[in-house]
Amino acid sequence: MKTHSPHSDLLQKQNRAIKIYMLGCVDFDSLLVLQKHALEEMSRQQTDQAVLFVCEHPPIITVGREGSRNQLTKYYQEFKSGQIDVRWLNRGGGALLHAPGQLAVYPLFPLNQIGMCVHDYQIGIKQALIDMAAEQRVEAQTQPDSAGIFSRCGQFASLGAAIQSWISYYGFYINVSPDMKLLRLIDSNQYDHRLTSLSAILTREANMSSVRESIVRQLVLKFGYQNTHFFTKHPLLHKVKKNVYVHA
Amino acid sequence: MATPILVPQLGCADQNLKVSLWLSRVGEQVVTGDRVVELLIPGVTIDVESPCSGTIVSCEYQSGAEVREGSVLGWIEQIESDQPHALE
Repeated sequence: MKTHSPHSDLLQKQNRAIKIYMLGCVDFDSLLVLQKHALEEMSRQQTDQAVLFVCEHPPIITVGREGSRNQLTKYYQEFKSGQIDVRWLNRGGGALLHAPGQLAVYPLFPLNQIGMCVHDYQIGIKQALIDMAAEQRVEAQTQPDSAGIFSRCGQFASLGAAIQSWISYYGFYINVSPDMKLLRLIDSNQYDHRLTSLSAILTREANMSSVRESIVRQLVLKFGYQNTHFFTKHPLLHKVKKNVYVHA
Repeated sequence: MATPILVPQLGCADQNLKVSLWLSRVGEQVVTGDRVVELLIPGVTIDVESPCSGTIVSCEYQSGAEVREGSVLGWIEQIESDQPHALE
């Protein structure tokens, strides 16, 4: 039987590397391509190396396995006329409207290789979000059987992740300072929680760079990655022209 | 010989764990490692892979059904060549 000393575990943790891609505003479909590519590479390599994509998306609606058409019907015609696409995905969580000002975070962690179960992963992500919020002076909490992270003013972040071959993908979304009128066009949760953003909670503009830096640091810490490699572009990412919806 | 498709150890015993959907149907052939069924806990989906190559002969739980770690989700009739060879 293989035994690990605490010292060898520590050394192993110190050597864990994570590639962090800070990508700015990325078209959702392009992100899916990057994610698929990274997922395939990680499945092949079977190492403890992780990948993290951090970006924002132009307006688009995604619906996870906990979502339904009911969440979209009220403004469905407006979405169609406004050229907001709807994507049905195999992630957890319900329907979400993504827009600039919302930080999208996609951590691809090889759970088996880093000795974590699904519960550890879920707790790690939620705790990273709570600690990030605390650094922004926002008191946050989770609720049982909910994919949301809440403050006293409502839900400001949503978990929508998936696990394939014990590698996590998709991730979570933080409303930093998006146009809340746009985000509230869909009923994004079933429990009648009000959607909010960090800016609305703080009653001042939350700083996107500060939130981004904080959540990346918290994730790296919670999942035991010491060796970080930052990139601001990805070789597979090309500039594309896309119509952007502006809500009247 | 039929092999069970089990809910793996997820560490989520206290959470609402459901069958999200089946990715393969009864009668369909699968190979080891194919994704056959998707589970759901709040905010996260988990793919369950086929433990062997063979034909899916039954699905014990339908979409939306609550399950637990270790529950038998379905059965696969194993292909002969995929079975471990007997020691001579």
